[in-house]
Amino acid sequence: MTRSGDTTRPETDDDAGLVEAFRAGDERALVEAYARWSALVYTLALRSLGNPTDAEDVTQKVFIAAWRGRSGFDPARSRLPGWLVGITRHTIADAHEARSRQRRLDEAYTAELPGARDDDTVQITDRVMIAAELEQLEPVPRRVMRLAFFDDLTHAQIADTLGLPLGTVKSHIRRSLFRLRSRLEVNDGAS
Amino acid sequence: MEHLDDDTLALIAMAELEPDRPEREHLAVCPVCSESLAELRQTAELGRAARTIELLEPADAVWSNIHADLGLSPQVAAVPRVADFAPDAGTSPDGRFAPDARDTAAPAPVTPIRTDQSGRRAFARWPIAAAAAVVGLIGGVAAGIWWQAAQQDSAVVVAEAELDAFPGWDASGVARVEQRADGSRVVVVDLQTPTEDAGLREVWLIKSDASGLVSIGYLDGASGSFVVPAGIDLAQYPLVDVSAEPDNGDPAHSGDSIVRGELRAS
Repeated sequence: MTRSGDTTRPETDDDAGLVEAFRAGDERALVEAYARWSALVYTLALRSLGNPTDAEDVTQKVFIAAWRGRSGFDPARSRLPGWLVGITRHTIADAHEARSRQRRLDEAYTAELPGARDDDTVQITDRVMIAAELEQLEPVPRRVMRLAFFDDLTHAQIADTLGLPLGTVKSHIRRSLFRLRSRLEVNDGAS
Repeated sequence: MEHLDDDTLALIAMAELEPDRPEREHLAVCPVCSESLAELRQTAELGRAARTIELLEPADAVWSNIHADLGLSPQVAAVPRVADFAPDAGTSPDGRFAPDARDTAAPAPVTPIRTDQSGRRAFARWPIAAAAAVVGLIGGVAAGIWWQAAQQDSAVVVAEAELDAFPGWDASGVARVEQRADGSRVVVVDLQTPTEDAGLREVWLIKSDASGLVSIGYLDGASGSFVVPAGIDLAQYPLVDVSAEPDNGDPAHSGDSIVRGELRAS
């Protein structure tokens, strides 16, 4: 919970229009959700399953399930990307289970698939979610955050690099950091 | 002491600021602030770790399969591209899904910018949108931020402005000038209506006769704080303006103002 949440300021969701349209069944909302988060879903699946065909299959299933199950999405409980990631995890788990079953059937197949890993899934999920959300920041804050995170520049160095006032850099970093934090919530109760 | 403000928490989380003794003592006893700081630190850590993440797009056939399986209409058959929705797409301001934007899908009014012979940029005078009703009530969000800032900040509010929409924009808000203890001045802009779909939004101080202007930064989200350069006399630059700017590197005002208001001493 944010510290602001206990005062009078609610966390605003700047995707409120998208969420409303998604729940109302507007196809354009599915288009936007796919445009913005299909790479997130696919990258997560590919990292876990290690196979593009299986990852594409998961991506397809996730968006189909999300659209058919859109009435079950409760914006009060999670944000749309967090909800999609919840569905993704379940779908990936199903894919692993199907593989295990196949493996039990196929005795010759003993080695773990190369590249497949499901150990540090939570950490990976958060990192991929952050990467996806960074891509969706507005251009100036995105440049600022990339310099802060990836190039380890101080606020003052970023201000110099981009020719922005220091106060503006600080403001971008504060807002972006709070926004990214709010996007990390995954609703794992999704079915 | 009061809770740590968002600025301080963010600076500490980014390792820009070492908490001083009162702040450390507060963090030691306040679960709200310490939890918030822990989450922000984790976010920053993940952000740094995201350097190694390569986001990959699924093959186009995935959307085609989804489209066929769900029986979607032909209008949405094209593979959705993130570039069509990213804020920097340089596309129409209503690229992102925003019901408000659909209602105002007509081209935003381009306000003329006059350039005189000396090449100095001069603004035509605009009447402040008469159609935009004066904001009588500030919405809960803005009021909350205002209230919270007022509670936390020892800065003195020396001037305020109500920001009214230009034709074609559904937006309103407030701006206030805070004088900090060290004499610096900060313009705090709070928009009541989200205008994220406008893309880049830049905040300006403009002379009352529109003969000059200065940019004080970009607005991210619905509100932001902008330091007023020391040499700027606010009596000479009483208008606060938020404009929609194309991401084309041109530092000049686009002429496409979203809201504007006149500062009045408070």
